[in-house]
Amino acid sequence: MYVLSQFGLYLLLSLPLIGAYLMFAVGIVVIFRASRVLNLAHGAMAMLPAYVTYSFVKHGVPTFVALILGVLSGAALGMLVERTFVRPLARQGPTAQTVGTVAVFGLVVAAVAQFYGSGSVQAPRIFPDGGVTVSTAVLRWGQIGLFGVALASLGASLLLLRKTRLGMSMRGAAENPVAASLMGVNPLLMARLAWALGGALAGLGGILLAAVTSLDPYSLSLQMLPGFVAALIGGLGSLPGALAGAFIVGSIEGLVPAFGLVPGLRGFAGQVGVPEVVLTILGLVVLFLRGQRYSAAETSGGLSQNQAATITHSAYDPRHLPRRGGRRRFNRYVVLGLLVAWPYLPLGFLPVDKFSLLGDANQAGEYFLVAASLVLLTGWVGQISLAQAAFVGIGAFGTALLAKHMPMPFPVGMIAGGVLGGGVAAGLGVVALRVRGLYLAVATLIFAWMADAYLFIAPWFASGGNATLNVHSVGIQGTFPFFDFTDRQTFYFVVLAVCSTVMFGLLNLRDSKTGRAFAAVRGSETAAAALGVNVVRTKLFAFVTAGAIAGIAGNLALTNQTTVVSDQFSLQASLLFLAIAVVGGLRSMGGAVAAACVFAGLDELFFRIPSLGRLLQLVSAMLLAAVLLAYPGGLAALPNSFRNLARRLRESEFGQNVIVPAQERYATGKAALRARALALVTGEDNPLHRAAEAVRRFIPRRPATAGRTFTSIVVPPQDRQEPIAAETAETAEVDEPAPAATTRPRRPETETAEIAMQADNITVKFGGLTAVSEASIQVPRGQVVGLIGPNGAGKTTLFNAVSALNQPTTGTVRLFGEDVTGLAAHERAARGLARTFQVIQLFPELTVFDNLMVATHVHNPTGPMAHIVATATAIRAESAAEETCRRVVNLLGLDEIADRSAAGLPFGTLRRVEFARALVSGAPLVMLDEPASGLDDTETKQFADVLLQARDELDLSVLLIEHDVHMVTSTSDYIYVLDRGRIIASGKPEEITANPAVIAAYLGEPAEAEGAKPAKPKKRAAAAKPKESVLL
Amino acid sequence: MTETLLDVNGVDVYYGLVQALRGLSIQVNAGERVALLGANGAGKTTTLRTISGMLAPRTGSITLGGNSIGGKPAYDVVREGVAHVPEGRALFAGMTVEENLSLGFASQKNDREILQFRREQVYNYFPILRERSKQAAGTLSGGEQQMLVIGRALMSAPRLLLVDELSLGLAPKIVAQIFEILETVNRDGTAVLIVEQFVHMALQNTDRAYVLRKGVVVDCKPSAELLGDPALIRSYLGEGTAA
Repeated sequence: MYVLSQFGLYLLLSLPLIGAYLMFAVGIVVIFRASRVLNLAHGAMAMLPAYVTYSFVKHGVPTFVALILGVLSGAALGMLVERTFVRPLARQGPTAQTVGTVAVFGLVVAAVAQFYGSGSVQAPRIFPDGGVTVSTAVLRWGQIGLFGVALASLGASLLLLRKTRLGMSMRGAAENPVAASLMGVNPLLMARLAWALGGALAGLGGILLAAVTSLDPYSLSLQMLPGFVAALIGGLGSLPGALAGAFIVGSIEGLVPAFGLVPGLRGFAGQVGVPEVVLTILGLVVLFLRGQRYSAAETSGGLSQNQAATITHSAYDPRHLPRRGGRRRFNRYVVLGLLVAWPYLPLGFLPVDKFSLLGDANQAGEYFLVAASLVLLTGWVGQISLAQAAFVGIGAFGTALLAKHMPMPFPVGMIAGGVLGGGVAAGLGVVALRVRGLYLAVATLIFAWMADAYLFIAPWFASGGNATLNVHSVGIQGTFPFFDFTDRQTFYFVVLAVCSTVMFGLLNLRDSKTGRAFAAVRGSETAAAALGVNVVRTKLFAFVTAGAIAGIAGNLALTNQTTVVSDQFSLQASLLFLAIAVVGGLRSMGGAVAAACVFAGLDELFFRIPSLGRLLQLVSAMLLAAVLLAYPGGLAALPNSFRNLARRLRESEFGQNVIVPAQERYATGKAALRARALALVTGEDNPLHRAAEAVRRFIPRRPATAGRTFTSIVVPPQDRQEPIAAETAETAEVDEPAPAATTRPRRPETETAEIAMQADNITVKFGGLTAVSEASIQVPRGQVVGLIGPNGAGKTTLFNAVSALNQPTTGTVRLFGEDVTGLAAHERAARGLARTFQVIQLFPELTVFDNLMVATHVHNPTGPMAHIVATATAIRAESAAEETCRRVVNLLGLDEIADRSAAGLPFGTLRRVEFARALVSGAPLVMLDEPASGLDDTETKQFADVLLQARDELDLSVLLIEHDVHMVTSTSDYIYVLDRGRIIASGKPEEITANPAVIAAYLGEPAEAEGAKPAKPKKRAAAAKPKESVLL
Repeated sequence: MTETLLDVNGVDVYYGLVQALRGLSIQVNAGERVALLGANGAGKTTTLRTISGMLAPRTGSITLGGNSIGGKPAYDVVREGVAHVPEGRALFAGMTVEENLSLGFASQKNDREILQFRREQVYNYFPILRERSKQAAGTLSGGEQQMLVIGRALMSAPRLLLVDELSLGLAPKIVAQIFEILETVNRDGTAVLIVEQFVHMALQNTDRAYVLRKGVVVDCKPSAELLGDPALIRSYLGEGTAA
């Protein structure tokens, strides 16, 4: 009974928490709805107004006035963030927007810490002192007030959004910006107002919460995280949901200490940071459970929204395109740096303090490792981790803990650090990466917060926040044969070795199949999946690798310093790492090296000038923001900028007016370089190559690769030196026993031919609308089959059902006789189905050639580990894929543009590239969705010729949706006509154009359409059955 | 009434790199009903989007009753008296029918009485919407949604109503019913410019029609004259490619 009443008391005392979280959650929801951005700066937008109010009160302004000014400052900050970061960064995509909010967070926190100091201050009381006594506890007026104001502001927000004209406009603009602007509402203005409202709510919550607790730059900024969890519980889109979420989160946090009263749980529940642990687990569970829902919400309409961005994206730097050849040829600057400059440092040829320089170099090494992990994760895959410092900490504390119990000589400890970091990342990733979007940022932020609050000060894990390495178990000072890690010079070489290994490995990875999968996932998850990339696994692999690298860095830090403290691994450190990666230029390894050196130098600078104090934090936050907004290429883009500048100067000097596009100039020079490098490295005379060949003779060939090839276009890796004719025969045998395949007549009768694709009785419903109703189509092998019909007839929907991009209510799909009804998009791609999209889904940042290379994914049996090491098998598979692509490039006449970025090519060419990509996948069945849309007559004719050529030369089966009826009738062997979801006719082209039902369907004569006899008697019943009620 | 209401003159419009309209010129007189016809990709929808300000023309001029509206954002163009019913309906699906209609009034001076008057007017055109007024727009049937979007556009009492693909996904009976109401709206003084893939239906319900092909006007005749013109049907089925 006593315990129960105590629980009630704790629940009562959690009311202020509920209030604060409610206000944060409401703000987060309002902002998310308006601009689809997870505002990670929300806590900073709460903390700054609290300081503003504090300042005003300190200077004698009445409390109430100060409160209002504080709230207004929150609104102003919200609008400023929207204007300065969120809106401009929208062009760079959601990843950049989210990093932008992180930059704001860092900037505000660092600025406030610089100005007010990092210690806590006594925030002004808003409500009178005293309170209500309940049993043994006192609920102060400030706490009651906080709860009351929170409920009132929820009510006011609801009232504003539901009942006023402005609120209605804001909701309308959030839900459908295009429609809103047609109604006379400026959606940009509405989004900015939503940010102002969110900022004001955050500020009000911050001021009131600070008044009943205390105020410092850090803790209040992180108090938004439970608010995030609350908003997630509520589904991120609903204000009443946020209320429910805040109640759950606040009462759980309030009740955790109460469990200390339960005898068995006293030891755990009483510890510092346990509420954070419980909330973290809750947050992760919510993410895991709600994941699929967000996914569905975000996929709908995603394709069309990204249309413009997909085609016109131009933040492109040719220097960062992957090199050919499957193995890494080191960037000459990096080679220069490694071979010449760095080893000279320890030898002391430079006229500076060798000791501190070595220290800086080692620091730079650690910075580089973590920055490299972010280049991989954020730059290449587009996901954000705010827990990299926490992974470093797990590597450090974890291996210190292990070393207490077992001997951990150097490489073992480092590997253990990597395994620990990677393992924790795997756990987090499994939860957060199933979801489309940037929820990894939230999950890692929550995790980092928990690690700060609990894990890194827990006695059992981190010895209370200050771990010392058991030196005997590592073998320092003589007990281990070679190295004394506490010696800076020895450690310098170790760091150098580890950094270059990581760099080599990651660059190998980038230039491989896996690296292209990264780029594909970053570009468009839908298109990547359609090309056979397992999106979730790709993201997870990158995150786990990033976590492992950070864990390795943690063990290195521990081994070098022998003592680590938890402060090194705080969220601030994670922000610093992100700043390093962004300043370097998120996609570039060389940039990460440069930025790591710059930041290590800054460290040294601020260390030597103590008066500057904590300025490093502010400077790094400012650098992050500045690079993000003004120079997204980062340090890595500097050489190019200088080159362009020099060229401009030169040209103006000589008065030349001929401007050669930089990309072209670069491409020419690069092609020559590449040819030379290729001859050197992959040429038959290369000793490495010869050695590899010799080794290969002793290794049995893997049969797996042969089974995966589909048509003659794909070169099996082991046979690429053989003549083309031989291959054709061989691969034809692989997937089709009948040897007559190559000599079969071109247009066999439908009844006798092998069926490439057969879809039976497909019905697709969207809510109440039946988009496709019991449609059956089949594509015989080696034929072009057209699918035509008026707008909205359901052609693309049927297409999506066949390629598993939507889920039919009924029906079966067979590919080459195999039932694939239950298989996902990438699995169907692996079984020989390729498709193009109505909206071109090329990856704009890749070259044309690499766009094609992505499609060889399904044929490449090598895994990411092989790519990191660049094994002979991986290189051979890569070369085979290149050979395949080169042949398609020749076939479609794309030679001229193969090395150009897809961004900026003429539309007609892009259509051809997309078709080429479908061919390269080797898929014997290609589905084309309006390939001629946007093409003029000449281009359309060219495309039709290429299509027929591909059909004949590659024995290709094609399903074609096209509005240009002339193009369809001139290329198709057979045509289906779809009208309002039903197949109303099918037959040879000449039959179709003469069919009155078809003409009626196109011209919209309902009486005729319903009365006409469909070509196939079997379908007649379905077609004649009136289904208007469904369509309504 | 032969006064020119809308004058689109020599307009070029691009989607990124693709040119969708090539020097397109059309006129709509006050109180007139005009159809834009043509195969897919001819630029019909693009034309409507350009007039309503969703797209900005690269060259050329657009005037409404003598005022230039070319290049103005959509939320300003609607204040000039152009209401656009876009393709795919673009409802506020999570909001009620009544709220959708109120948003249609967002471009007007905030006057509750006029708002209610216009809403009554819309309910009179489409009585079913009155029954559904408290229902979320996303739960309506396709035909009701189309009625709602047209009703919402009428809330701004436009001088020119643009309707894109009215018949999309609807049963013929419903389409005919909506066309009847459009006729009433037109008789009450609003000029109507429609894009409609079903040629006959479009011609039966308009006074005049433009035929577009690859972003240019290839023909402009009274609708009655075009009805049953075999050349037009050919241009739809694409056999006129050579010509």
